[in-house]
Amino acid sequence: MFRDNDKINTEETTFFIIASTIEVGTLTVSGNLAKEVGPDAWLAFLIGNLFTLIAIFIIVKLAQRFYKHGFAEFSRIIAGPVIGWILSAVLVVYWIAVSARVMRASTDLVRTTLLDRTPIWVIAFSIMLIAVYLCWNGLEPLCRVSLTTVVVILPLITLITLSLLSEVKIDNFLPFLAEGPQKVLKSAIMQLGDIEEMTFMLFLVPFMKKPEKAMKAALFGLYIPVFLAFFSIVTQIGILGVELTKIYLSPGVAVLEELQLPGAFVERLGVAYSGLWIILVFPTICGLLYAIVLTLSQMFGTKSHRPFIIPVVILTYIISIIPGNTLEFEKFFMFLEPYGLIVSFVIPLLLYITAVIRGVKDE
Amino acid sequence: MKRIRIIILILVVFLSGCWDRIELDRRSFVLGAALDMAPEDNELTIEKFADTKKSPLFMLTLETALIHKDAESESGNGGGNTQQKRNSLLHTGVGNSFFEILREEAKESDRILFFGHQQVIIIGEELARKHNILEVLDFWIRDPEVDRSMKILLARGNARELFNADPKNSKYVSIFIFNQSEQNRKSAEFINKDFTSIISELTECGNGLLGSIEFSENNSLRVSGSGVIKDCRLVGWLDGHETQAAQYVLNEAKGGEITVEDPEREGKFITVEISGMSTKLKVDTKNDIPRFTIDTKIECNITEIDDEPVKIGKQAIASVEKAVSAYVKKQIKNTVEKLQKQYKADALGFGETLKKRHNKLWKVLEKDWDAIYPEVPVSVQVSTKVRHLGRAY
Repeated sequence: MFRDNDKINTEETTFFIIASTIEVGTLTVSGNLAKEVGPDAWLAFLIGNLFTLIAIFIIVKLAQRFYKHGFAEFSRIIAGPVIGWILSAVLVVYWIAVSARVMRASTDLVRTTLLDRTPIWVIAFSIMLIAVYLCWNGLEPLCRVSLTTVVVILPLITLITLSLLSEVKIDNFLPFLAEGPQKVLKSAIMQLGDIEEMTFMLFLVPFMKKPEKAMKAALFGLYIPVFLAFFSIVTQIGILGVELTKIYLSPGVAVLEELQLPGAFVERLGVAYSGLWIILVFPTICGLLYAIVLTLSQMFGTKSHRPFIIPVVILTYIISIIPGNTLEFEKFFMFLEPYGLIVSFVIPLLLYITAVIRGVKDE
Repeated sequence: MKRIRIIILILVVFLSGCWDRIELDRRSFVLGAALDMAPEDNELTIEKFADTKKSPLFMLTLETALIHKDAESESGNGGGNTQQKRNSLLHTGVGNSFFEILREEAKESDRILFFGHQQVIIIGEELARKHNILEVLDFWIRDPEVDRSMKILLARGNARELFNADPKNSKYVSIFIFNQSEQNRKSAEFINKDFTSIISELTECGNGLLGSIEFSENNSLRVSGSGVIKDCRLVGWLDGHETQAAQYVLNEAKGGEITVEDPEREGKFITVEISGMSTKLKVDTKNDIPRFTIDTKIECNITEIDDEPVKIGKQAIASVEKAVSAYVKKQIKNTVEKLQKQYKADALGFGETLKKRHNKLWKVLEKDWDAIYPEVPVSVQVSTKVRHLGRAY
């Protein structure tokens, strides 16, 4: 059946996080980093992911301390009903904004690479329909779908990315640290606000068969996407050069188009490859949607999460179409970085300290 | 319930569609584009801009494939007919932007232009000299349809005229040019770069070399030599010989032949083919004055000697190596001097090397680099190694 006991094992948790973390953002992250730190983008990315370890450690420790409760419940236990409710609302708003951004980014990508005449709502609806269908049946089918998607697509994408490494020109990564290390460090610290889907650990732990393995799941969930993202940054900047990476809307797609099978009669394989990335958007949106509706149902104390699904999906869609063009889109979602810093670092840290001081935890 | 599900599943297959679908026979495949300045006395120009009295900027010529004709000529006479007939169609228009011209052409065509299989962009000499090449190519950079493995070449003279050429063995001028550019393993006298690497180079520093194309005898075409780009504009030409030397410095020569006079016997020649090479561009920044050293190592095979084959000995090989080194050294020196003194264009990436390897010094020199560059001391070292002698001694 679709659903038997609402328990997932460690592998399913890991793959759920991997599938949620990899989305079209990986195709554009190099552009943003190149704008901030130029040729040192790879270094900023690696150091940044050492910093995110701290945030993830706190999140997992907090969630493990309350391994029987989701975020909306344990935040109430720690900080009292009113503040707990507000904190949950802050988290839900964050997730809604993130899923609106992912939705918009992927519909834009589909329109600028694959289907330029298809109306935006059609693309968005195909994503939303699947998200609704999957969320309806709870976490178990969601994890299973994530697992199958990742197992099929991730090796393909990794292979494609690694095969591009031969075209990389090392000179594009010079000068090394020309502006000094401060800029790189600053950009690395700001990545704390960029771990978006890792906050899933806040609600996932109670569903795990072995909550004590949560740290392992989180680390694998972080480092497999980081491995992929690191190599896509290297190929993008290494092939296109820093200046062109800044110019292109999605450097990842431009790089994929560079890949030519020698002697192949099939041209334009890049378009097909970018299709693979689009597939990875589905688990991301589904995961975010489930996180939102589950936390909402915990906040309002309803038995089922289902009544929230349709309104949240529609709200997400509406937010995603508010920005008019790409520049407005970037400006509109600019607030997500400081917001993310608060949600994924400040709030868990404060909650954890309070919980330790008050001595509350699940027995 | 089950039956309804099955019906829905079947309906999905038959009811699905695609907004972006355009049938093959409604498409017109663009193979190549020639970009030029709009000529003032052209009848197209006069007709379209008669009332505004303002002459348009650009002229665009597209070569599109006539697919039904292709099919006919292949199945038709069983291949017995060697007489090649033109299978392509040329569209020409003028306007102030290339997209405007494309839409203008839509009025005259029953098919929708498709850029996904474009092979080449040819930029006319006058346009390349007067306009920033990145600005000219902006439509192709933005358009999602464009295949980024196509070639960009400069025409010596008018780009549009090239499409009237009659290349042997090929039905389309664009495909001919594309395939010819891919022959760079056979000769280093022309430059083979695709769209992305050219755009990347131009956005990084604005200097570089672009392949060039010209008419050869019998109304055919020849890809040879290169255009020197400075600040995204064409400033001059290098011939095939000089381009070969430039490719040595850029570490991009993949083949090519060198013919030198036999050092021991006057009037006799020895030809070697390059099988591998590597160049290191070294900078010495003593006293904050950059001095460049081009250190080239060539591996080659002897392919032809003007003599009885048994005669070549150990010593002879050493002298051949020496002769080749001297020849290449002179070739590189002449080219570098031409770029430094005549064109004042930093097309071999000296400034970029300085920027990447000695960033602090570069920041000091950056402002005056245009004045410093022509006077920068450059020394050349070449060493040659003969690997194979072919199938005879």
